[in-house]
Amino acid sequence: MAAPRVAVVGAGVIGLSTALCIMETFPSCSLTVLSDQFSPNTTSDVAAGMLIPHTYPGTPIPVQKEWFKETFTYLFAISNSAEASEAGIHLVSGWQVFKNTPKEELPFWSDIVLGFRPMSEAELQKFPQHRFGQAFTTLKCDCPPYLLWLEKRLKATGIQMYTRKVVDLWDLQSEYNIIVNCAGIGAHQLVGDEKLFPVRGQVLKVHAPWVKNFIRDGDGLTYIYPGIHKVTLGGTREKENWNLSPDPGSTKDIFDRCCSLEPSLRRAQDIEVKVGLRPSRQCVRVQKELLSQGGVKLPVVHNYGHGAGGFSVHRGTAKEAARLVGECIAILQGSSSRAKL
Amino acid sequence: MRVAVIGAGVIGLSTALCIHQQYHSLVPSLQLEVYADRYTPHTTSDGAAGLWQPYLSDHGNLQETLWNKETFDHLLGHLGSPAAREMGLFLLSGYNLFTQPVPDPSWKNIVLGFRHLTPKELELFPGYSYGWFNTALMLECRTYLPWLTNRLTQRGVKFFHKKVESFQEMFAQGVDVVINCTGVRAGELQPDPELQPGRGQVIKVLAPWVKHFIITHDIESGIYKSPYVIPGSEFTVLGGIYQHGNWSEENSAQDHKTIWESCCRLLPALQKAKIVEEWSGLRPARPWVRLERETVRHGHSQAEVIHNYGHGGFGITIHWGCAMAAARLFGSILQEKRQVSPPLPRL
Repeated sequence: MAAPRVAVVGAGVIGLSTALCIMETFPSCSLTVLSDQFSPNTTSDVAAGMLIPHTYPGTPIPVQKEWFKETFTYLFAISNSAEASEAGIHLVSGWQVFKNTPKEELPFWSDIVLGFRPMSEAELQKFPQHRFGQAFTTLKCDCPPYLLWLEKRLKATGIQMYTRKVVDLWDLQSEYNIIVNCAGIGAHQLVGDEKLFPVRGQVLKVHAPWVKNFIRDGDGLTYIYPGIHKVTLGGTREKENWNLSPDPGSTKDIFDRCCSLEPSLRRAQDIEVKVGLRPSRQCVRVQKELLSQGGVKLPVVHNYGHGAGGFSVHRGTAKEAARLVGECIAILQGSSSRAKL
Repeated sequence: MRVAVIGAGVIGLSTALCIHQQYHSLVPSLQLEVYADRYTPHTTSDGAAGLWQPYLSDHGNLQETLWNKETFDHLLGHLGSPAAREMGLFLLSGYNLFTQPVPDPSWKNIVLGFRHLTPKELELFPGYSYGWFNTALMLECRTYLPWLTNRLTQRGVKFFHKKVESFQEMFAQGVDVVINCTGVRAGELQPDPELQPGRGQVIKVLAPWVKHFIITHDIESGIYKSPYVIPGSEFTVLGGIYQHGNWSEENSAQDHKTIWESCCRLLPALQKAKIVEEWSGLRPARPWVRLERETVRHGHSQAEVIHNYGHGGFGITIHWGCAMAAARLFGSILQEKRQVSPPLPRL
C-alpha cells in the first residue's frame, strides 16, 4: 500500500500539534492540514495559552493528569532550549487566589506544575478580598508564536497546508484515506456534535510589561496572564453564546476586575479586545470512528472538545490521536494486504 | 538653615526627600539644595538593574538588615498605589542558584514566599544543585530617580549641576549641613581607604519572554562574579562582573564575552536576544555602609556633615532605610542647634 494519505482538519493548537505527532510517529505518512483559518485567526490565537488545566467532568482524572503531564514535560523541554523564544514558550510564576477556600485544596495537577504551595499571609495581603491562595510556576504558550513554530516544524517534514473550509468529511474521501477531525468548535457543524457547545470568552491584550507574575481568581473568571509582548486580561464564560464581536460592556468589566487584582494595570496601553469560542464538551472527544456510506468506509480520528483547557492537554491528546491514527493505518494496511490475496 | 546634599544617585535623592518630608514643616527656614556632577540617567544607580536583594550574608551587620527591611516594606506599601508605575516599581519573582547547600539568608522573611527549589526546578539549571525561589521588588532607577527629582522639585528643592571640590567650599557658601551621598567618589572629598570601586559591567538585551530573575552564585568567587539575568520593564539585564579596585568605566570586550557566554549557558534562549546597550559602573564598595555624623571645624564655628555612602551593590535595596537613618541624624543636629523648638524672640 502507498503511504497513507492523512488529512488533518483544523489548524489551531490541536490540529497542528496532532499533525506534528502523526508525522513524528509515522514519518512515511502523506499528511495535509486543511483549515478555514490559520494563525493568527484561530481560537487558539485568542487564548492566553496558560498551562493550568481545566477539569472535564466526563474524562477520568488519571487520563487528564496524564495528558497534562505529557504536555507540560514536552513544553518544559522546549522552554529550556534555544528555541524557547521562537516557540513562544516561557515559564511564568504567580498566584491563584480564592475569595472562599476551595473544597479541593490540592488540584490534581499540583504536583506537575513547579513549586506548588499555599500562599503565605504576607503574599495574601496583596489581595485583601481573597482569603486563600496557591503559588506556583507554570508554562505559557504564546500565540501566534507557538502556532507559527508548529507550522514551521510541520513544513520541514514536507506536509502541505491549505486554506479550505471543509463542510462534510465525506468530501475528503476521494483524496484521503484517514481524516483527523481537529475542527474545534467547527465540529458542531462538521460532524453534527450536539454535545459540543461554545463558551464565549472575551479577553483584552494589553501592553503592561512591568507585570511579570500571573494572577488568577480561583473562580476562573478573572485572570492576568503576562505573555511575551502583551498581558492577557480575562475574561468571560458565556455558554451557548456564538457571538464573535467584542462587547464594550464586557471590556470595561474585565478591565475593572483585573485592575482590582492588580491596580497598576490602570496604566496599561494599547488595549486590544479579542473574542474566542471555547469548544466545550463534558469530555474531550479523542476517538476513532469508522464512517460508512454506500459500502465505502472512511476512518476518522476525532480530537476536539477541549473547551477551556486546550493548551494544557494539547500534546497529550495529540499523542493519543496519533496512536489512534496508527490503528487506522494498521487496519488499512491489513485490509489492503487482504485485498491482494 | 541651608542643607546641601552632594550626590544625585538613589542615595542622594532619597535622603533629600526623606529630610524634606520630615523637617520642612518643623523648620520653616529649611533650604535644601542638591549638588552633583552627574544626574540621571548618568549615575551609578541608573545602570543597576534595580532588583531588591541584599548580599547573601549580612556578616552580623544587623543594622543593615533592618535598613533593607525598612526599604522593602516601604516599597511594598507603595505597590498598590498609582505612584508605583511612576516610581518604576513592580514585583518580580525568581531564582537564586548555588552549587552546594547554603544557609538561608537574613532576608528570607523580608521577601515574599521564600522557599527552596524543588528537584524538578533544578532541572532547569544544570550545574546548580541547590537554590531559592522568592518574590521580590524591582525599582528601576531610570524611572525612580526622575520621580524623586519631581517630588523634590515640587517641594522647592533646588538642583545644581556642579562638582563640589570640598566640604569647605559648601560651608564657605553658607551651607550649615552637608549630606555626603557621593558614592564611589566620596574619597575625593575625604580620603577613605575602606571605600573601593566594585566594577561591574552589564549587557542590556531585548528578551521579553524572561519573566524571572536568575542569580547564580559561586561561593568561592564572591558576589556578582557569577552570571545573573534580571528582566526589567523594557530590557533584560545580563551581568556577572565584580572587579574590586578597578576604576575603569569603559566596557571591556573580555567582560562582554564572559557575561554573554555564561548567561547564554544559563538560559539558552538568550542566544536569540538582541543586544541593545552595554554599560559599566562602579559599585561604591565598603565593608559596611558609612552612615554617621561628623562635626567639621569651619573657621571659628562648627559645621556638620552626614555621611551616607558605601552601599556597594545593594544601594537600591537599602536606600530608604539609610535615608531615614540620615534624616534621624539630621534631626539630632537640629535638636542640638535648637532649631526645632519654638523660635526665640529676636532682641
